[in-house]
Amino acid sequence: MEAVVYLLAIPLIATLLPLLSERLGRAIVPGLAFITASIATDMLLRGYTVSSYYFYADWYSMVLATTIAWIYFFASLASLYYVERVERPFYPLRLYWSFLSLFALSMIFTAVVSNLGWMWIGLEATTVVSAILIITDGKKRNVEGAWRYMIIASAGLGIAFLSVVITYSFAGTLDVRHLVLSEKAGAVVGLLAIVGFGTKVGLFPMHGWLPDAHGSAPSPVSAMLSGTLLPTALLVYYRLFKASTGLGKEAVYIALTVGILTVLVASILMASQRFVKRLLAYSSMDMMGVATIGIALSYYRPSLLKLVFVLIAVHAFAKGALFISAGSAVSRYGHEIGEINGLLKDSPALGYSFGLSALAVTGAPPFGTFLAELSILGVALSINRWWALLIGTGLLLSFLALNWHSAKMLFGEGKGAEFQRGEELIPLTMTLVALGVSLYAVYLALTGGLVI
Amino acid sequence: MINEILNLLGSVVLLTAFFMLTESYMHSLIDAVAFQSVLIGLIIGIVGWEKRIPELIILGGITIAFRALLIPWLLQRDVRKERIWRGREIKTTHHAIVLGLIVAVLAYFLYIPVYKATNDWSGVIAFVLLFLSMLIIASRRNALAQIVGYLSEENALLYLAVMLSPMPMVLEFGILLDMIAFVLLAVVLGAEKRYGPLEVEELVG
Repeated sequence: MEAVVYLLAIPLIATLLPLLSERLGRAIVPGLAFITASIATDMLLRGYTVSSYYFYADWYSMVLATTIAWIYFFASLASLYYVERVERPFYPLRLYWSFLSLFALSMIFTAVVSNLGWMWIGLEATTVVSAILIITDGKKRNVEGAWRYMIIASAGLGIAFLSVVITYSFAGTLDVRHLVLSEKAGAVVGLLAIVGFGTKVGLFPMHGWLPDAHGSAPSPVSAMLSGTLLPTALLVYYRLFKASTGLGKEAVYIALTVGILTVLVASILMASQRFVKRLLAYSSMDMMGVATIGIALSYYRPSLLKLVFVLIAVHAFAKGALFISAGSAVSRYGHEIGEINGLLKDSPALGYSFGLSALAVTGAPPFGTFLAELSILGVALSINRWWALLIGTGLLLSFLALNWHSAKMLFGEGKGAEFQRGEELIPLTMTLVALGVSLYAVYLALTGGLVI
Repeated sequence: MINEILNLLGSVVLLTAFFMLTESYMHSLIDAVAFQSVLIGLIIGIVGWEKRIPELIILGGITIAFRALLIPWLLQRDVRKERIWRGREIKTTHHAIVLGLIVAVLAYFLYIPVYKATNDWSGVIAFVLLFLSMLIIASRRNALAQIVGYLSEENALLYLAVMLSPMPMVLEFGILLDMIAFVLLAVVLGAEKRYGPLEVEELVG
C-alpha cells in the first residue's frame, strides 16, 4: 500500500469520530491533525513521490499536502478558542469538527490523486464542505457569503468541468501522467481552465466570492481557505497548464495576463478596504495572482516553479497567522480596521505575529516570498520589460497597502483588550514557522537545493 | 433517425431554458426545470442505447428520478409551505429574453474554438444551455430561482459530457452533482426559514 494513503486515512478518522460528540472532536482532531502533518513532513523531507494508477504526487503535491496538513493542525488548535465564541451555531458544533477534517481531507485528496476527473470532484467537494463551514456562526452575513460562494464557485467549476471534458475528448485520458494536448486544444483548454479553476483560485475577474467568503468565515476556516484551498485549485490548474503548453504559448499569455491583472486589481482594492478580514482576503487574491504569474513564467524557466511553491507554503503559514490573529482582534475590537488600535501594546505576541506576517505575505526579506517575487521579476525582466514593470507596480502597491493598514492597527495607545495565552501563541507560532520555512528555503537556494 | 430525435429533444431543451429566463412564478419555474431534466434524462438514455453503454442508460434513469422528480418535489413542497413564494417574483425579467438571445449567439461563437479543437458539433446545444443557465443564475435575485438555474446548469454539463465524449466516470459525476444540489437545497431552505427569502444584494465592498 502506498504511504500516501495515511495522509487520507487519518483525516478520515478525524472526520468520522467527532460525529459521536463535540467533546471527542475537541480532544482528538488537533492530535490527529498533528500526526497527519508529521507524517507528511517526514515524507516530504525523505523526498517521497508516487506515480501509480490511483495516486500521483510529485514534490509539488507533497509540499502542498504538507502545508495543508500543518494549516489544518493550527486551524484545529485555533478552533478550540473559536468554538467558545460562537453565539448562535447554525448546526451542532460536533459537525464543525467533522467538517474541518473533511475539508482538509478533500484538499489533500485533490492534491495527490492522479486523475483530473477526481481532482475536479475533490475541488467540488471542497466547495460544499467549506460553504458549510462558513455558516458555522449562523448570522445572516455568513449565510449570504456562503451562498454567493456556492453559486460563483459552482459556476466556475462548471466551466472547469468543460475543460476536463475537452481534455478527455482530445487526449483520450484524464491521467495527469499522460496528458498532452495539441496546439489548438491547448489554447481552448488553457482558457477554459483559467476561467474555471481560476474562479476557485480567486483570480480577477472571477474573484467576486472571495472577500465575502473569507470575510464571513470563522477565522480558522479563513486560514485554511486562504492558505491552502486557493493553492490546491492552483495546482489542478497547473496540471492542465502543463499539458496545454505542450506545443503552443497561448496558455502562457492567457495565464500571464490574468495573473498581472489580478495583482493590480487586488492591490488597488486592498488600499481602499475598511474591514480587516476583507483586506486579508484581497491580499490572498494578490498572492495567488503572483503565483499564477510564476506558473506562467515557469514555461520559460522551469526551475521557477519550485520557488512558486515556496511562496505558497510561506504564504499559507503567514496568512493563517494573519487570519487567526485578526479573528482574535475582531472579537475584541470590531470588524473595521479603524476600530483596531494599539494591537502591539495590548498584546505584543499578537502584534508581532500580525506585523511580521503582513511583511511576509507582501514579500519582504528575509521571507521566502521575497525570494520568489524577486526571481519572478527577474525572469519577467529578462523576457519583456513591460511585463516586469506591471508586475513590479502591482507588488509595490500591495506591499504599501497591506503594511500601511497593518501599521495603523499595530501602533497606538491600545484599548486595554485582554487575550488568552493560547490565542496569542498559535498565530505567533505560525509566523515563526513561516520564518523557519523561509530561512530553510534561502539555505537551500544558497546551497543549490533550489535552483533559481 | 436517432440523431434527428436527439436534435429535436435538444432544441426543446433550449426552449425550456428561454422559458425559464422569463418565467416569474416560482412553481412553474420549478416545473420547467423538471421537464428539462426529463428531456436530458431521455437524451442520455438514447445516447446510451445507441452507443451500447449500459451505464449511460442507468444515468439517464437516475437523472429523471433525482432531477425531474425528487428535487422538484422538494422545491415545490417548500414553495407551497412558505407564503412568500406564492406571488410572482417582484423583480420581473422582461428583457431577459433579448439578453438570452444575445448570450445564445455569443455562446455559439464561443463554441467555434471548441469545435476546432474537438471536430465535434454535437455539444453546441449543451454549450448554449450552459451559458443560458448562468444567465438565469445571474439575472435572478432570490435563492430558490438560483437553485433552479443551478440545476439547469448541471443538466447542461451532463448533457455536454455525454454528447462530447461519454466518459468512464460520467456516472459518478452525475451522482456527485446531485449530491451537491442536495446540500445546496438543505442550506438554502434551512436559511430561508430563519431570515425570509434569501436575497443576495446586501454584501458590498
